[in-house]
Amino acid sequence: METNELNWDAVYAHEAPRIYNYFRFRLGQDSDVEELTARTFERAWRSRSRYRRDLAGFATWLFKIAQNIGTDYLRARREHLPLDAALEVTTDVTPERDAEQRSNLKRLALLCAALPERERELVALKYGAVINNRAIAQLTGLTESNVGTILHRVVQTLRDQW
Amino acid sequence: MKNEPNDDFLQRLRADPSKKFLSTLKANLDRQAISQVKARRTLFRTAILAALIGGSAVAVAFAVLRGSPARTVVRMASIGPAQPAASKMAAERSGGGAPKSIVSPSQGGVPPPPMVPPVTAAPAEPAAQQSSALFVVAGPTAIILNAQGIARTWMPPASKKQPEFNLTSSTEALAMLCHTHPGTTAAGSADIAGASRRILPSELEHCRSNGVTHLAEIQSGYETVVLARSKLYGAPKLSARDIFLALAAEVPDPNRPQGLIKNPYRTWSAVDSSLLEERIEVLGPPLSSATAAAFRQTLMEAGCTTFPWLAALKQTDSQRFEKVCRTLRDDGVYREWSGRLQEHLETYPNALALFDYREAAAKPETLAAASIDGVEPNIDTIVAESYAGSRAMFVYVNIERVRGNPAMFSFVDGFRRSVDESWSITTLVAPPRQANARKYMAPLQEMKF
Repeated sequence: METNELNWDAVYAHEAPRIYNYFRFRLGQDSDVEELTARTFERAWRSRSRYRRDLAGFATWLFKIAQNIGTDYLRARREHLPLDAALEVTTDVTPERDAEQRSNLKRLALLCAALPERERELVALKYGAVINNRAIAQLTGLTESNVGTILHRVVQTLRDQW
Repeated sequence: MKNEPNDDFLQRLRADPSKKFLSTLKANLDRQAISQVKARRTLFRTAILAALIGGSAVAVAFAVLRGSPARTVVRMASIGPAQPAASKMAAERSGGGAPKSIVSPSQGGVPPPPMVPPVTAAPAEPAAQQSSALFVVAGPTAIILNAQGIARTWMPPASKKQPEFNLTSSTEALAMLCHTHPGTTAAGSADIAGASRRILPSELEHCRSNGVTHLAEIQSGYETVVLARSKLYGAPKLSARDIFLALAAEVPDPNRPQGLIKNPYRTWSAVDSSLLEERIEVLGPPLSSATAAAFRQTLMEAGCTTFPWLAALKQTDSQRFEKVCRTLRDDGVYREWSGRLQEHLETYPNALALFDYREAAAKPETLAAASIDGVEPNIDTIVAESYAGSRAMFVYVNIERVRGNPAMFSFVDGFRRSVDESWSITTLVAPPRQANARKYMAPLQEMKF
């Protein structure tokens, strides 16, 4: 199928909120989310002639780009972590004690901070981007059943701490 | 069945982006699309003009080149005194054409005669005798890997004596074959030499003067490299010049004729304004690998020689030529791949990876190899030698040594069969098998250049 058969307006309307929420969940904050969403679409837009619909679902392709941008952003943020943020990370403030004073998104970020990177990514893809387990498996290289198992355990853990 | 945990608290965290953000971003993307269309129109007009000019040039070149004889694939050369082959060969080469009057497989040929040459001169002491090996093979990596594979497949079961394989450059290997290597010691001689180029007339003369009077030349295949990216993004279209400018350590200074500067290019559009503004990123095997070496000597060199003053260096200052044309930048734009390469390529539309052709061709469902100067890498373009990322590999056998050395006979016969039967054990692309073709190992006296 030719690239130009994609209805890009419809694609944008459908995917932009998902990408936006993927970054919100991934970053655990609202700041910079718009910037990263814009960056994702601009990169996809520039490369859209290369997208082959017969080879990969559009969402898979788009989220690969988003994952890449998110990873770069988080890596840069780790490398240039502001002092106050660094102190926050290293204090003994427990999520339970501090959660009530923070927004729910911040609370999620704090809870997720204790999770391995892979599990944080799964939560962002599942609940931020609303991607099904099969597509998540494609994006992460895990099996579909493995994705389901990990998410089940992670959600249970988060639920217990919420 | 598992009890699904209550995930409402996660579902509720989703939020819609602001309408203002969505509309602003969409407007930016639409503007970007319009400017790309304009750029494409300009490029199209330029291409039409270039095609008109280039077409005339191609027509003239074709008229000049037509009539050039087809190349041979396998042949045997006599360089004995009765046959002044080398000088004739030199004369042919100076004329710029391929050797004439060589019976090639496509021309019919004759059945291969026994590989027992007439003795026309007292041979030098065999390398194998000096080194206590069955025989000695020297050459670049691709040849040695191939030779080792063939030895394992075609030679009799292991005995106390084994062939010796010396990894070295083409020039060194040919010098070892002709015993012109400094100090003709066991380590300095070879019975079989591999090379990524044909033997030079001057090297043939050296052989003859050292009593190595009968050589067989086998074109053993093509060492071919490709730059590829994930098939998600389609096959890149690059020129050899783009690749050189993107990856060389030093590039011509646009502001200073015949000057060089440290490579400043970070994006493909900086290299060539018709390319996308994407970061240059090439992943590849270690620089010491055969694939990286072949890349430097094919694609990089092809791009380098598009600058006439750099091409001229090949004749006037070969050391500088090699340094400029074959040195990759070390600022991280080219880096060795490490794990999850495919995933990386799928994630980064701009990322390219360097592969041996066979490796890339084995993954057509995931990789798309770049066309270079409009030529896609495939068997046809490789054999036609129109694809810039490929080079023919040759093996030269001192056939004096084959007499009375059954192991070496088996080895050479195996090598020949690997060409005949159009397969190659390791990384070389074998020439395609031709219907009713007979690989030609000519009686020495009949060999004409």
